Amino acid sequence: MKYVVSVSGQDIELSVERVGESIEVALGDGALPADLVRVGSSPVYSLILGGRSYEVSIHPRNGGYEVVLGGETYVARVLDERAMRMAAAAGMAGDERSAEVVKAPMPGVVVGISVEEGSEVSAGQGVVTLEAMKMENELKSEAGGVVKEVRVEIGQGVTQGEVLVVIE
Amino acid sequence: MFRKVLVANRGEIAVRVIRALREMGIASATIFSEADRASSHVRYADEAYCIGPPLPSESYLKIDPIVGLAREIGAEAIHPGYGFLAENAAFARACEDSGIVFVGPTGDTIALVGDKMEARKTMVAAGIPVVPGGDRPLSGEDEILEEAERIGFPVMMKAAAGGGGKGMRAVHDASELGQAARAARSEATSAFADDRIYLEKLVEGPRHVEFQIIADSHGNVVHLGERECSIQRRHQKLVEESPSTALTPSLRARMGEAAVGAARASGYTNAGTIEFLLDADRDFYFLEVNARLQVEHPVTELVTGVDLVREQLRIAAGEKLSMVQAEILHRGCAIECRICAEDPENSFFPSTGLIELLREPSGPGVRVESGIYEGYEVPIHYDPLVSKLLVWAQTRDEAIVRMRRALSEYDVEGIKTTIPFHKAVMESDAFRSGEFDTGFVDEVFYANYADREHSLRDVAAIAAALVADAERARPKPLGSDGGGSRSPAGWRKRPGDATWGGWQLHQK
Repeated sequence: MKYVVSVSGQDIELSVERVGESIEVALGDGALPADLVRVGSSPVYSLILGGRSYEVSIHPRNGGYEVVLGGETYVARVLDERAMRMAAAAGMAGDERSAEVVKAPMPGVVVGISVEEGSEVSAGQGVVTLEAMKMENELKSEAGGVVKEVRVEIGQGVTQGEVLVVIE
Repeated sequence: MFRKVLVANRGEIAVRVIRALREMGIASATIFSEADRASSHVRYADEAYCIGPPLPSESYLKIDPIVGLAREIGAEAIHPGYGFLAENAAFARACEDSGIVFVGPTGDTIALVGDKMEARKTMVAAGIPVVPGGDRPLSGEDEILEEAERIGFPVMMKAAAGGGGKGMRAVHDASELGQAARAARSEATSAFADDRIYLEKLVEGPRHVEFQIIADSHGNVVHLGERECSIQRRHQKLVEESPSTALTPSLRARMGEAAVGAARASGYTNAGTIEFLLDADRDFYFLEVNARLQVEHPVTELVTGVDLVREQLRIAAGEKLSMVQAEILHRGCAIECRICAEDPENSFFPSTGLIELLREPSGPGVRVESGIYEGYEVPIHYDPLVSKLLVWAQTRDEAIVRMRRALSEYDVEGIKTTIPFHKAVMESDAFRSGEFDTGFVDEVFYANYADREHSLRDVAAIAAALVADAERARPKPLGSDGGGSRSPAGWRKRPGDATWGGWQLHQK
């Protein structure tokens, strides 16, 4: 099965083939045997890729995955062949179909809005600047898409978890 | 010695103090706000009492209820930790007035060293070098300009009641002066309710080197060597180590002597820290006295073997120091990384939320001072410091390698932390060379931080695809929650097919 995995704004094409009990992953010009086991019931997995051992934790999030590896957090979205065809047909390759929201991580005041309804945004793009605890923080959209709704205006106070922008 | 001590703090420092109490056979009591009911310090203490709502001003900063609680439960002493009421002269005096021992210097000493201008005067009188400038508070613009020209640009504008970098401004020429004065005043007023400002010569490219001292109430003072604290961001320390790569044995001896002199001049008792700036010519200047146990005190504990909290309690109980200067020996090298709930990718913005997964490093030479646990919800009300990771090794190079190893074992998920940032610092040439000053993080390092390589991106993509593929391959179980708790089953490696095959993960 072919997949496109979008990680930190980069699209990586790869394939996962199952031969009996074994699995082979192909990426670029090479292919490797892969073995992934979950450690108990925790989010921690052991991945052995061509003999190389990795410890990785994987949390399902908003239809994608948050992958923690080597101390870095990667936000990954996985599209399979069918999803890729559907996305291509819709002319929006790589985009999520479901709505994505940008929320306030803590109480604060909106001091900047860099998008408006109908704007196209890419994954990782800053959309709202929030001032909280005497610091300015640019809030980014996790997914790419089109801005469906901007629910706040500049100068507005917001509570923790309040939805600021909806992206489709 | 005391039979019961109240620890008036929270988080990792409360746990640290209670550990010393437990080892000394002293009963421990602690306080908590409504946000901290399930915190580790509450569960670890022998007794715990709710002191009010989450806001510090309604709980951890409430002087009278805390002193009253100590009396009510029969605690003979209060340990304030750091932050909150630790350097509050009124709190120390309230303890003194109620017959409770405050584990720290006297209220009078706290008030003296807390006023930066008074502290400067005291040090000048004692013959301790201070940065040129700063004899008087400045009000009018003309007066400020006159003083700046007398000292000579560039200058540093400071708040008399300052601390922690608040109200501080570097000013390079006369045109910046008015704006800087207004900003410094308003910051000083909101932080300290005191708008007095003064000017000092700006020490360019300084290193921040501090000395730990302990003093008993019998006139004995010793220093326990230095901590190098130049790895800072906006005057907030991020990494501390001992010894400093900038000190020679003779400079160390001179600075140590000055630190002991500073403690004597301010009538200091208990554990304290004398901060110095060290310029490019290796001239040192008194900066300030931190009248408390420092966040980074374990660095000194690791290289000297002295338990500073135990010493604090012994001194507070009226005992003499358990050592003389010649008995204090320094061995090896220690490094501390402050692990904060902040996002280094996003200007160190505070990150709150639930800790979903926590694995702490261990193994040879590793010490973790932590106040967090799995299931802990990082509150918005308190300091973002959630733990401190320390290592000890024979040499600095070995300590850096050990810190890198320990950081790679440290896994905190659900919130952003400064762990990836510390990894990058430990790998940087400037840190490893030992040649850096306080501008390192802001001017050199952080500018390139976002561009660092993510060499495991492809592996992360593969891991995500494997999980997605396993979910596809499995029939959906009834009552599925959407994939969160399911495990891809049936993964096994094909025998004899584990070769790397010359395949390279492409790095972008």
